[in-house]
Amino acid sequence: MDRISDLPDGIIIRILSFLLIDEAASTSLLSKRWRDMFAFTPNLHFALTKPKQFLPFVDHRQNFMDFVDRVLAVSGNSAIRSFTLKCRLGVGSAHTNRWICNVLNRGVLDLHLDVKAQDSLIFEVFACKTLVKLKLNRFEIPLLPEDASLPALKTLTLDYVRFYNLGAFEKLISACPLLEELLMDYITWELWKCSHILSCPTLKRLTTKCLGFSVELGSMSFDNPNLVYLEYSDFVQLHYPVVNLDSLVEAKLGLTMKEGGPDNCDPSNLIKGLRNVEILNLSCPETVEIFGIFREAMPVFENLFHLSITSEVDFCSSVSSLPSLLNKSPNLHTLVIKGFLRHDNPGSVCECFLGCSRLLSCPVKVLELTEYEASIKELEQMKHFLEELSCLELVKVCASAKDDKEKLRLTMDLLMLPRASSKCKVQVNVS
Amino acid sequence: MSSNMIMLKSSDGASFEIEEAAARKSKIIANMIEVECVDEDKAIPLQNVTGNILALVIEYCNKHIVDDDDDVATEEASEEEEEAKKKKVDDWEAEFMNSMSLETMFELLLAANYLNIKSLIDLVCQTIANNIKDKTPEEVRKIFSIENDFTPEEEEEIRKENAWAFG
Repeated sequence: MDRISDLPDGIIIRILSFLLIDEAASTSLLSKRWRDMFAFTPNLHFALTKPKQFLPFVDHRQNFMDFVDRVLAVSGNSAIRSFTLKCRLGVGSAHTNRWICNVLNRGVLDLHLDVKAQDSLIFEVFACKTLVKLKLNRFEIPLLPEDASLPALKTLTLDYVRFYNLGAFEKLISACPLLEELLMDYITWELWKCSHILSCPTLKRLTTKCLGFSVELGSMSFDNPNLVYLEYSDFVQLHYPVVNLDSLVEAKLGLTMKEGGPDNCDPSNLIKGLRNVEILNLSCPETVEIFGIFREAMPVFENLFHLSITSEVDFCSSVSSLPSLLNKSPNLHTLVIKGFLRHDNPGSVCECFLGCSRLLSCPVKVLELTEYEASIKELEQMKHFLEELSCLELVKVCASAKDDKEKLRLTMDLLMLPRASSKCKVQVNVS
Repeated sequence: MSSNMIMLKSSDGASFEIEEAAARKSKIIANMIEVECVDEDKAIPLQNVTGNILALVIEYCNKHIVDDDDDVATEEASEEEEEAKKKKVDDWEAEFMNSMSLETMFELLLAANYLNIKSLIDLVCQTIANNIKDKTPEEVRKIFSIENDFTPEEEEEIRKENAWAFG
């Protein structure tokens, strides 16, 4: 008995909404009952990919356009929750504009566009009252008109977006009064060597990679008093005139310096602005170095609980900022060192720790090492850590070994090390 | 959290005792409890659900009873614990769905729809969708005993309309 076709429309549509649009569309062949059902699924994701079987691209593209046209026509005015359109290869903007405008009028909540777009379309998108999530790929964003407004928007993602006119970026952000999350990847600003301010009182999470200062450096301000999470990977800019990140809990920084080095950039205000963080991750070795160079700017990280640093081949030079960081973190609980402990110094123990008597008072309870290679010098370094860090309770070491014999030796060596803290446990994970 | 028990009565007269928190997974029952003041010693009659299906619904609700409280507790649970917990629930759901025939699955879906238990509707719909995925229309028709009522010409027309999806 055909039970499935007897289900109410709403349930059949719900079942089909768990499938990709082309999978769902193949049910149109089942029977008359199913013919148009798939077009009513509230999540429509169209991407013009390569044809699965041999077909001239012109025909494939025509099929794609006919399909999108048909789905949007059949479903009439039914609500669309989420809509994705990815087609750059020769689908004219007459088509894409028509589709997108159709969807904007059907209460769409989540919109993801990767199309060639004219300014007029962008103005339409930025006047949509229902959008909660918007993702734009490879758009050129003009200066928005005064009435641009995305009153419901909470999440905005911009990938490879260019801003042409002065102030276009600031205008866009101010058109989103409820924005909570902003993700930006490879942004090109309208003018080089220009100052920008990201000011958004509602913003909670910000992820930015490579803002477009790659040609010339500029100045960047962050005025985000309610930001909780910051991920920022870029060249250090000339300066950061305003940094207000008072609610920041977690920061992940991947900062590097452009040629010209520290004479040509100044992250002091940015570093000062991090003073309230609880979790800090310096995700590339150069960032650790930059914290060392600008150690004068380092505030006391009163709340810092979890610190991750990434070291390079030469541990000693790459973590020169570690002692200062430890000194400025009176409540540090966990220290994670990603990368190697190995160093090229002729001395047996890393110089940066010798003479750093304050290590003794360092409150770190958990030390994690992610890439232990078990060389003699690394073992010396470990010995140093265990002898000096008097509050340690747990040391977690991830290592790799060629065979069981090496594994056993490595583990035994670590377990035999003398420890300043009697409570300290050593955990070795060998892969 | 209250541990009040309430009674549910199936269309074929079987009675089930269930914790109020679990029964509240059903928007309809939650509504009845709130608006109609369910009489303590009177069972709630569910005219559209038979006893064997209601037993499955209750099994599901009991398994997911803690879900709603989790939101409060998440801050303390670590990511790993969360993941392990989620995997346990996923495994249980997979096993639960695996154990029943298609026939039962449809009955359960209709019951979940009637009782308005969104997560259960989604679980069954997802399972049915998995049965459609990666299969030819002929295979899908066979699994669900769907009769093809198209003429060859009509079928050809649909293939043309949706050529992109079939390409």
